[in-house]
Amino acid sequence: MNPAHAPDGAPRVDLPYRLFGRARGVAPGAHRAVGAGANGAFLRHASILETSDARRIDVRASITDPFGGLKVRRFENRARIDVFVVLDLSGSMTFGRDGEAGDAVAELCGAIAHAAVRGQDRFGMIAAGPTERADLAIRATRRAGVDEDVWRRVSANSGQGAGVGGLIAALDELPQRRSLVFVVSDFLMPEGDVDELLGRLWRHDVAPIVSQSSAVETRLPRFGLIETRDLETGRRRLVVMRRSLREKWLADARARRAALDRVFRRHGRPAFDLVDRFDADAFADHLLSGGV
Amino acid sequence: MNAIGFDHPLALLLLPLAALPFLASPLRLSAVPSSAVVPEDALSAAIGVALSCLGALAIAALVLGLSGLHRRDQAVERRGAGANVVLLIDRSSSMDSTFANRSPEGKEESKSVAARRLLTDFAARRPADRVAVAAFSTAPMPLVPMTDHHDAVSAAIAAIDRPGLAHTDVGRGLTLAFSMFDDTSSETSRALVLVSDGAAVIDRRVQDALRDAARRDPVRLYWLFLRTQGSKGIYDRPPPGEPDTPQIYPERHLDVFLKSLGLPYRAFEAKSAADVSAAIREIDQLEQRPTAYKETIPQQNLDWIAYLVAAFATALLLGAKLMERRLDEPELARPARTAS
Repeated sequence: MNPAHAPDGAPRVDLPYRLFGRARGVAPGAHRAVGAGANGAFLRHASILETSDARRIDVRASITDPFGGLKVRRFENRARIDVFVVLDLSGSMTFGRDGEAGDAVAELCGAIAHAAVRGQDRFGMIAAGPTERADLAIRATRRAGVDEDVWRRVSANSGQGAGVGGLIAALDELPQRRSLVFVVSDFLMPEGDVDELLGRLWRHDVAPIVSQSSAVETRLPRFGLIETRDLETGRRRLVVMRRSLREKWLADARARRAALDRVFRRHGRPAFDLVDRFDADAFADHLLSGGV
Repeated sequence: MNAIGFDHPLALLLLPLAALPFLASPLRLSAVPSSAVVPEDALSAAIGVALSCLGALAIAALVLGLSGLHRRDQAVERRGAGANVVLLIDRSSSMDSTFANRSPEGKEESKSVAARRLLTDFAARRPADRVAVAAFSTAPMPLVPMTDHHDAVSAAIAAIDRPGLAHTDVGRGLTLAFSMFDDTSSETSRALVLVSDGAAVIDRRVQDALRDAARRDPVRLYWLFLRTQGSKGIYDRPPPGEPDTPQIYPERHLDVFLKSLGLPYRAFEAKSAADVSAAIREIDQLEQRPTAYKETIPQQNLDWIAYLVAAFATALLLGAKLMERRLDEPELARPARTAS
């Protein structure tokens, strides 16, 4: 285990994530599932003719039934779900992950894994950049300590290469059953790629997480010469930072984010912005509010 | 001929280093996740190219400076109003006395000193001239060949007031003077100025040689005769009954001989420094013809220009370096915000 993280590290909290809609599956869990069962939260009344469960006859409802039928209480099923992290490990994701604030992406993945196992769900991960990374994939599991495992693997692997072709191909590994999928990426890719990535996840409940860095989004120097290097292509560009360009840069960043937001809403829910470091409380708020 | 030369051409092998600024940058790089976050900006792109070019320029200029860039000496064809002049100056000892035939005392000038002063002025007034200087006494002495270098001419003229020798051999002096016109001097602008204070008998053979030379190289001939008080003049005719021989009247006979050469000829008889001055001014006015003369421009070191360019480019690069910022500078770090 990484000693920097070992004794306490980032405190892990339970995250109130929910699957949109009802889960399918027979394994008991914490999420509302399709079908009615004998335990759990009350769902509806049913006639004893259709459900011959005499132990759950609701006497009061039977008496007050004007037609005089016997009513049986039905309860909703609760099932577990699979929680997946689909992690973009292209070169651009290297950015801002070796700072003093810690590796926000690894913290996020670890937190999701922790919360999933704690919440009786299974956790899995697919991480890939332009090529598939079988060594980083984790099958859906409830193994204890998977959060540490995920944290360590993600911390040790910064991205490389350009593009997300491998990641899109690796999405076929996801289970057919509807799962909650956190897509962690900076989404600095052509909009077609974003559409392709999210479109392939139509079967699942997709929760995008946009990894950003304030260094290139908001916290820009006011004046000076900046020479930038693209982490994916290595292309160098000189920027003469000045008031007009700074404003254009910030406006571009806002426009890019707004365009992403439109794509995300088309495919499910609004995204969570992972800026600089992982804030578990903000993430929990986001999950509770549904990002609105 | 190639006008540009190098002291150390081997240093030019370093010139490919000038490509380095196109491969590396003087600025520290700031990583960005993608070029897409950086807006396109024409000014930035232009300055980026300019910085690379400045770096290349600085390195190239340094290499040129190290290799000792210079311009080779060059001969420039100039045109002016002047003449190709041969100054033939008498260096006989009589030139060292004054016009009054005394040794100079006090403020008095000897003939040679006056001639030197006035001829120096003459040469200095006429920058477009090509001038040769020869002297004669017992034997003719070429002092300066036909040249554009007025410093050399002035130095040669400055030397004519040294104490002279005994005799006056005009004939051989003239022969020498005729031979000093070179091929580059155009025929129309040749002038021969003979400065003497006396004349002598010219040998028959020398006379023939001079006639040949005059036919070969037609020049305009000026004789500035510094007449000493009491001596015979150019135009003094012998009284009737006396024999008219060159031995007794050498000046008159030299004049006759020069006239007989069939060249444009003028004689000036000067009895004082003022006369000399007037005569020289007249020659000055007469000899204003278009001439082509060559001016040699000496080799000129250009490495200082190269170093200046390099310093300028480096200063600009230094300015750029001082303006350098990075995207993730720690002093700008503020508490990171997490959007909800």
